[in-house]
Amino acid sequence: MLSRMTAPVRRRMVWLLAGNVGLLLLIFACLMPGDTVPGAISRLGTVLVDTPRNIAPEMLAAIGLTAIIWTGAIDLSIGSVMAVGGAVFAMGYSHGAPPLVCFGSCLLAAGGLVAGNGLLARWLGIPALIVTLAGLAAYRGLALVLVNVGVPGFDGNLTVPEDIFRVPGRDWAAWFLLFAVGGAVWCELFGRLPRLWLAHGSSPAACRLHGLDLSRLAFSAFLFGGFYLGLGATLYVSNQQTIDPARMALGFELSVIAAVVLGGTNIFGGEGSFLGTLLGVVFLYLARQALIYAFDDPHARQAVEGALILGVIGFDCVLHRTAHRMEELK
Amino acid sequence: MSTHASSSSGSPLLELTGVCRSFGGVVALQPTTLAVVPGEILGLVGENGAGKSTLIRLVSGVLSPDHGEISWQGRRVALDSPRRAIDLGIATIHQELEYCGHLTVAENMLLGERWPRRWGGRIDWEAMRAEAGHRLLRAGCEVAADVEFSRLTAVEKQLVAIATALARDARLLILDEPTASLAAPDARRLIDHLKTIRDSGVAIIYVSHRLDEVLELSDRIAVLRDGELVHLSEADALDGPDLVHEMVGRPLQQVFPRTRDGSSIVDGPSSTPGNVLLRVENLSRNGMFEEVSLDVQAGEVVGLAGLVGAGRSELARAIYGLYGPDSGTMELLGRPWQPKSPWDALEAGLVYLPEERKRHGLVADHDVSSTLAIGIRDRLTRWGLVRGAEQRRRVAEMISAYDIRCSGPGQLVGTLSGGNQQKALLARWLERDPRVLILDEPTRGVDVGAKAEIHSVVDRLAAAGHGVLLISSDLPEVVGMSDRVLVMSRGRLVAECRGETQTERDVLQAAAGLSSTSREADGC
Repeated sequence: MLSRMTAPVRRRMVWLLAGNVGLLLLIFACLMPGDTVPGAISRLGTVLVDTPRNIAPEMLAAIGLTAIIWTGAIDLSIGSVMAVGGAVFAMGYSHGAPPLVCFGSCLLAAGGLVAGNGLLARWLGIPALIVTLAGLAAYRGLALVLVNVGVPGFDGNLTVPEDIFRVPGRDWAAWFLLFAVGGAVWCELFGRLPRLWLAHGSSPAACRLHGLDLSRLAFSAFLFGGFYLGLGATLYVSNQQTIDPARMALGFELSVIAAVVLGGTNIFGGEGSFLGTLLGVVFLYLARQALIYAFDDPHARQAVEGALILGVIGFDCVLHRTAHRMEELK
Repeated sequence: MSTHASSSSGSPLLELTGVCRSFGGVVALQPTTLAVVPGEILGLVGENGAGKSTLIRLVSGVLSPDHGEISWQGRRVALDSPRRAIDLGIATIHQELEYCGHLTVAENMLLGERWPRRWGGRIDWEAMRAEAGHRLLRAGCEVAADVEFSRLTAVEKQLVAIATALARDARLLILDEPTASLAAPDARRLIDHLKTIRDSGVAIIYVSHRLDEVLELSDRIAVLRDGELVHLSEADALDGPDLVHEMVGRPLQQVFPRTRDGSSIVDGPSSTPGNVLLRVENLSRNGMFEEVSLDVQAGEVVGLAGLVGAGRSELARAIYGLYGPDSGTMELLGRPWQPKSPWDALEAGLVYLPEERKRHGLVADHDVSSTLAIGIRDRLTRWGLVRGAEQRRRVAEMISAYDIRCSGPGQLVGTLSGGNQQKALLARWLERDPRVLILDEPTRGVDVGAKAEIHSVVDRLAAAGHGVLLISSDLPEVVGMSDRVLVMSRGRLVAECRGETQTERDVLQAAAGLSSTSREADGC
């Protein structure tokens, strides 16, 4: 698998691995003052135990988005798509549907919308960026309409007190994550489609010359992305006690894109790795945890996190441009 | 020159009978009859616009002929798509290769095919590498199958493309300028490889401006001129000068009347020391050009000729300040010249008309007024605000002075004809009253009338004491317009042709890398 990755992706993964270890040490150092070593280790253990639950939605959405970005497309509407998933879940819950039906409908709604984005881009022949930028506003509005119409007495948010609804997102999150990430990595290791998605992003003209159906390829990436994002939406909803479609997963797309790009996936497509995305998500999560200890002010944390994301994406663009120039010079 | 035994013998693999093609009333290829037999290399040569690309596109299924028949192995076929051509066994390898750089060589080679699998649907990467390796080996290509494609050298990419085509049972290979981006040793390696492929019975149509290669490699040579097949013979029957004569085919003065003599070279106040406006000494930039030295005098048009990829535009961009040279020195108007950006060049009186007008010269959605005014924006603004009345006045003057045919200053520049777009670009820069102009393919894609007007403008500029570096692939133009012609080949300045010996033949021979003996003998 490593041999099929490009050198920049491999380098990025090594760097991320070292960065993650460094962040863990930083968090540990932040926990030390005022505590004993065993106490600090115990608190660090708590942070680590909570990690799968906290990162599962972002991780799954990031893997789905990675596949889409590989083809040279993007989905900017994923935060709003999750809100629609939440709204559908709320409708089912408020009408007394069993948990399985609520979660299933959430998964189908969110996944279906992402796949629908792929279809729209294919049928309308316009870039996915435009389609999903429109979806960013449209789906958020759709989520609010759905809860206002479909949830009796909805007053801005819906509380879900029953513990049974939190089992997938809280108790089973690590297992979901393990199987979903394992499946994605298996696909990358042994599947043809991920390589074709990369080929699509690398050179559509070459794919066309080899007789590949580009629109079908792009749609298959959106379908894959839809499944993972639907699963992520389900775990996200399941991990919340209240459903608030107006604020749910607001700005989620930005941090997911940042994690994907940080993981070595080229924002213009054609290059990347699911493993890199995994490390990118973990890096951003640990950085956020470290910021909690470094800054008391939540607004300052947000500002630093935003700057970090911007820096990462900007850095990748500069790297990409440099590589492109070198290619031209050759 | 090849003496391959099978040339023009045996039943034809591909036959074109009276095939022709026009675009909007303009004949790109006149009725042409041509055959290619298995195991031969047919060299296809001609000037730019001679019809080579049209012929290639007809044979590779990109275009359909207006009239005529195409037969493949004796049977009439309709080559209505590239897929159809590939299925028949016709593989075209374009000058610009299309590949997925981040995938491995094996993945690129098997991209459109079924990949070998193991139980559970897993891709069998070992088998895939082995299959690609086998194909590479069969094609005599020594490249590892598991290397990332973008890491290959230019010649290795060409070889892999050929191996991929041969693996799909290609019987006819069409190679369009395959050595244009290759260094001499790599070009030699490719040529040797093509000979081996030819000997295995595959037919090759070899298109190149490098006539020495064409003469060496081809069994037969077809020459196109103005869309017409004007010559077809055994390669042995031709030598370099004959081939150039067949390609050019007419006296220069008939196609390009010279309107200016060299007497306009002047000593002006800005031409000290001597009358040199621009001087370049041993300028090099890795991978682009090497050790180039030239000068442009006041009142002089210096032609810069060469094949695509010779490094002419790259040199011009370095002089203009788009990027810096690795070594060497420059002087502009007698002072050391080290531009940090194009703005420095504009300030210093040096302008550059780019080769790709639409991509680098114009904003198609801007109107004529904005397009013209942008060149003198610093002179039209006061306190950061544009002086509207002054802009309107200056734009109206420019439209009139340069005869830019438009409905008014508000017309979108993208809707003008190519010639008027180019005149607008010229006008934009000339309003700055530059001392030196670098014009890169100034008449590419413009009609004959506009071409004459642009030539006239260049002529007037030189007469007024400006220095012009004229880059052109249009041989009649560069020879007819210039006081002397510098020829670049593979990044180096290889010849300077001037005076009575400044002919298309000499320039073409130098650009194509033919032996310099004949040029020197002719005084070039």
